[in-house]
Amino acid sequence: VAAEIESGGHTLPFTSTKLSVQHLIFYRHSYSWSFSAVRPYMSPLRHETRIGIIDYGMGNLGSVTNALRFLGYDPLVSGKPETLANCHGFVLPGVGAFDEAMKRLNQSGLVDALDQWVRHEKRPFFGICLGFQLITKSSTEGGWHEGLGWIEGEVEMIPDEIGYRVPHVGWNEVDLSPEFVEIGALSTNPHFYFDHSYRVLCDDSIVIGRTAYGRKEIIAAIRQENILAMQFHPERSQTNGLRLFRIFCHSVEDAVSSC
Amino acid sequence: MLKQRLISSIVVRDGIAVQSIGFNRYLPVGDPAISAENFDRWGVDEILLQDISATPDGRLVSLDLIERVARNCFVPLAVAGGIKSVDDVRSVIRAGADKVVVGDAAINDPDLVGRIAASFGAQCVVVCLDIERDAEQIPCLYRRNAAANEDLLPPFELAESLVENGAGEVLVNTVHRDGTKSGYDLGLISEMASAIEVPLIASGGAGHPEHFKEVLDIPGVSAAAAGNYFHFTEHSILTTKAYLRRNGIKLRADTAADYYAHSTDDIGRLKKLPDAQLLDLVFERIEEEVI
Repeated sequence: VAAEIESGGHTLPFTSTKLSVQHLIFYRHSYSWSFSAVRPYMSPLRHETRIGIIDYGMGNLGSVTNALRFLGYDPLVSGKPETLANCHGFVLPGVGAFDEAMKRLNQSGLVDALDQWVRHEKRPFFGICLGFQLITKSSTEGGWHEGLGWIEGEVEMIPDEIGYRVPHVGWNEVDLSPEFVEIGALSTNPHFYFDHSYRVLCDDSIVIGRTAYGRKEIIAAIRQENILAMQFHPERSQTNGLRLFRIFCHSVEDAVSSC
Repeated sequence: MLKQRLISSIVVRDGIAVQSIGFNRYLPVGDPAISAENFDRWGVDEILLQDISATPDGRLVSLDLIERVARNCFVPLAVAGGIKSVDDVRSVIRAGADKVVVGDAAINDPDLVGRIAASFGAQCVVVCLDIERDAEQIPCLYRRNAAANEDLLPPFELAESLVENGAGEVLVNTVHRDGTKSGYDLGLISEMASAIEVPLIASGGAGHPEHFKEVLDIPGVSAAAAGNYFHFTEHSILTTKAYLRRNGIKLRADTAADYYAHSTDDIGRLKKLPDAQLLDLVFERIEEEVI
């Protein structure tokens, strides 16, 4: 059946129904893709918001930079306190061992600088994986080591359990606090990518996300005033991860506009 | 709960993504960055980028390649190819990788895994073992340039010792199944899974969604990797995941288009939807049409 639709002087011929069905299946799939918010929009660059990525020689800086670029920011990657000093917010990424990371932070003088910026001046801070573990009081990874001590908590090895291998690697469902899900427009009980052998134990009042690994509970995310920290890798957790990053970026923007 | 993973591996030879058959024949696929972007959009759980010309050429995997691939990829990226030292790991991770895969270098220098784990943590090191079966069907290590008198540990003992040194995951690549589409070597993989105590990634031989189910049903197998199988069909990851989820495998499905309600035919392709449903789609389309 051939049908013609007239509009504004143009005639658009429709071919047989059979053919258009074929075409529509394809269209439908591609349509639902674009609609499914596979990606948040790629925003125009906002140079006025300076986000600093702390480089202590062992984070997955490339991935974090990519995620922030995607959201429209041009992050500053540096390991020098004087370069980072006028950033509005900080990201502490992490793939690495606790003691070596602390050693490097101490050597570069970043421990005191960050203490000033984050704890006294209350600039927004985002810790990822090891960056989350580093802000606790101490860790038992490779012997006892002191952390930055910004939150009440400590790091321990994930206990053994039959059938649940360590490291805890893969996508796990996170039970995030509803308020947080709403702010970030996340899907309910989203999945995030975990890759760690140690876990943080901390006070319940700051916990905003938990996940289960066997019978054990793993604290996935915390928030304490301007400090936001995640055990999983939002930079590698597709759309939901990028949306979490967006929450942090918005808090940095709020800080910019209020000063 | 923790989900099992589907990993798509992108095998790169001289800068071009290739389909590999038995580690000796290669067919071109295209630009690795475009493959990675597609896999990412189709909801893959992890991408494994292997530069197979790096080790023979005696160089490190191209950092420019990692940067290009990482730019459009928001899933974990594991990178393999000529990594021989902790400094190599540092530069690979800075370029955009999340973990590194070491193969020959870990076998030649058993301390390497320990040194990487000490600086970057065990979760960052994946050990890749290329295993084949010899004439008597006994599993043995595949070495491209093995010296004749070289004494090699049997693969299972080797894996155990590497895990003891600090490897966070073990990738088992069955060379004799590579590119055959005949399914994973289940016997070998389950033997390996019981020999080690870290998550295992199975690779080599996938050709049908059922093959993924068989291998993911083995206790201790945390992920199944495939390269050739995912490259040549649109939405391959989504359709495979839909098949596996219908068959009781727990996988992540965060995407809106998931094909869960579709059924598949004998060779694992999506079946056409019932006509009535298609007709609905037609009406839907016409409502949206604005001319």
